[in-house]
Amino acid sequence: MSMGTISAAYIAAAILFILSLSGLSNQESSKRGNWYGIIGMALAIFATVMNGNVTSYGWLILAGVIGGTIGARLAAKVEMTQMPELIAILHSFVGMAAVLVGFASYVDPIEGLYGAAATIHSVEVYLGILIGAVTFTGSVVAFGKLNGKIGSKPLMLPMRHQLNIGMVVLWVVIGSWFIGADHGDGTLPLILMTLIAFAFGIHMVMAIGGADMPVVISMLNSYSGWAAAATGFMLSNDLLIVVGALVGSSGAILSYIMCRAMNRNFVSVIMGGFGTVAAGGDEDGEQGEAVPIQADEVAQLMADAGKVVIVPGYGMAVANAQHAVSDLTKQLRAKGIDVQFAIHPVAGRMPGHMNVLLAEANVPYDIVLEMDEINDDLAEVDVVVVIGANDIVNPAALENPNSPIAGMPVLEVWKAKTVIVSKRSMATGYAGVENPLFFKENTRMLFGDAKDSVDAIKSAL
Amino acid sequence: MLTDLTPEKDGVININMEDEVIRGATVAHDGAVTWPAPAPTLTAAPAKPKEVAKAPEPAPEMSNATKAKMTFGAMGVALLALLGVGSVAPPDFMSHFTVFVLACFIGYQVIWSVTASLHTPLMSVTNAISGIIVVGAILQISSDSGVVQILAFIAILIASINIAGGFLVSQRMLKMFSK
Repeated sequence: MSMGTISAAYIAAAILFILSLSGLSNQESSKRGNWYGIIGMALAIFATVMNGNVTSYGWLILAGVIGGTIGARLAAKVEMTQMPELIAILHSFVGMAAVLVGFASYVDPIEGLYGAAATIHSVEVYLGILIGAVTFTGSVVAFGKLNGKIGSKPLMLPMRHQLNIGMVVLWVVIGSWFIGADHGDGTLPLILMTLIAFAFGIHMVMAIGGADMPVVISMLNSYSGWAAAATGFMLSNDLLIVVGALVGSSGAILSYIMCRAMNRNFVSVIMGGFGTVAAGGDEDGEQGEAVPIQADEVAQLMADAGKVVIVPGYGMAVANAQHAVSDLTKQLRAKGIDVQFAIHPVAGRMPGHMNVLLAEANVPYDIVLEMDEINDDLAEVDVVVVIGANDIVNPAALENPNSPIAGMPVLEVWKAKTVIVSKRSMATGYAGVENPLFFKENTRMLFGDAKDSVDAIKSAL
Repeated sequence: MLTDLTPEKDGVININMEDEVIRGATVAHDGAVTWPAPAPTLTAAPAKPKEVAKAPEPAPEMSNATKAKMTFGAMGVALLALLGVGSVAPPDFMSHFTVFVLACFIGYQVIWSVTASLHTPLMSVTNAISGIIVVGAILQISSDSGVVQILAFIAILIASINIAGGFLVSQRMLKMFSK
């Protein structure tokens, strides 16, 4: 294949990738969008393999088949509740690939670069490896935190900000050493930088608490994109640059949406340490009493209701209650009761997590609404059922300016006639904040495992 | 700007630090870092309030005028930074850089149109397409150097996990969304 044909194939692939992302603007076009992505990838790989310089087909196919098989197995086996872990580990692979390609590109240099071009190439190699390395270890730690291998409490090293700044300074120093070094002498600074970047990635994510996981995952998504883009600059490959830029901006926008949904500043999330400050200990006295309720009473309330809204949180995923919730929804809808779901942007451990869980349980997506779509209508709702959610329905965010989550947009469920909160205990959420919702007059607490509770309601109906 | 840079039109670069444009675009001169440059004095009154009126989301805590000033300030800084990069970088880099900046803007537009309920599939699709990094490794695996071959082999392997895993899991998730 000539260079021209390959470039044409790359342009087509880039367009297909853009189409695949824009296909996700609604559910109907999304499946087609995914196929565009697959075709684009096949096209790009085919064109690259057909490049006259590629000769080691055996190794190439072997690596592709092993990787493809592992990927297919992962995709087929993963539970929807574990989706954040899968996404995190896939981010780490992009980071690692960027590191490997960067080193390979350094060992196998492009001929005929001199002057500014050579310097820029060195900078590209350096940055590509750096971003890749941070993405790699950051994602591995995020993976560990998500599946519980690493505690979700933020790690608070003394002087951690100074430590981070120190590492950045070291990067700059080692970077100038690397750029100034003759070819071959640059290996040591490159390896040193990579080790520091590994440490930086670990430290960065270790310092971020479990509540901020949606931001962390989005941010690492963004990093994996920038790593790919930097690799594209390094290899002078426009397709890689385009894809990297698309993925990078995607992750950046998701991070922004997540931060806005928590009323948090991106920088403060990255700095870490949320949820460690002793929160709101000043207003314990007048909390009042929570009123418990039994499942059969809930069933009665629901049967008499005209409109029911269910607010799921990560607790629903933990208890694996989504199928029971879906069955309950079907039962209620069969009785002619209007049922809707209200999803807070940061419900769950990653953006859109709840939607996927509900879709898996066969809840029709047109009754699953976003917070902005439903918040104004909550006053007309007879029964709101909160399942395994806490901070996202906390009225303190709006009412108590001293609350650590003050200003965070929340689902205003307390405006409904009755609020049922299904919860295992009175424990606080991730943010460690007391929830005055539990003590409101129209709130009833349904204690117990979310799945058992929902099953009990179902059988009572 | 090139005319400003070579006032004698003889190809000899004359860095005139008194010139606003040159000063703004210069990152380093005679070994001294001169960036950031002092804000340029505008000679023409900017005619831009029309655009501001169209801005869709007026932030309540900030007046439109302040916001507009900040936006234009940021744009100015970005423009100067761009000029700064452009003044030192070789043309080859700048053409890739063009692609990069435009792709970021496309990404920005496209991602905002993605519905919030599909944010998880969005992440898995972006995961899959960032496996495009495999293209780099494919080009390296036929190298003469054994080290490069091994690195490229591992890179192809893990990037393939991303491609297969990302697309298949997206497919699986998207199939679940039904009315």
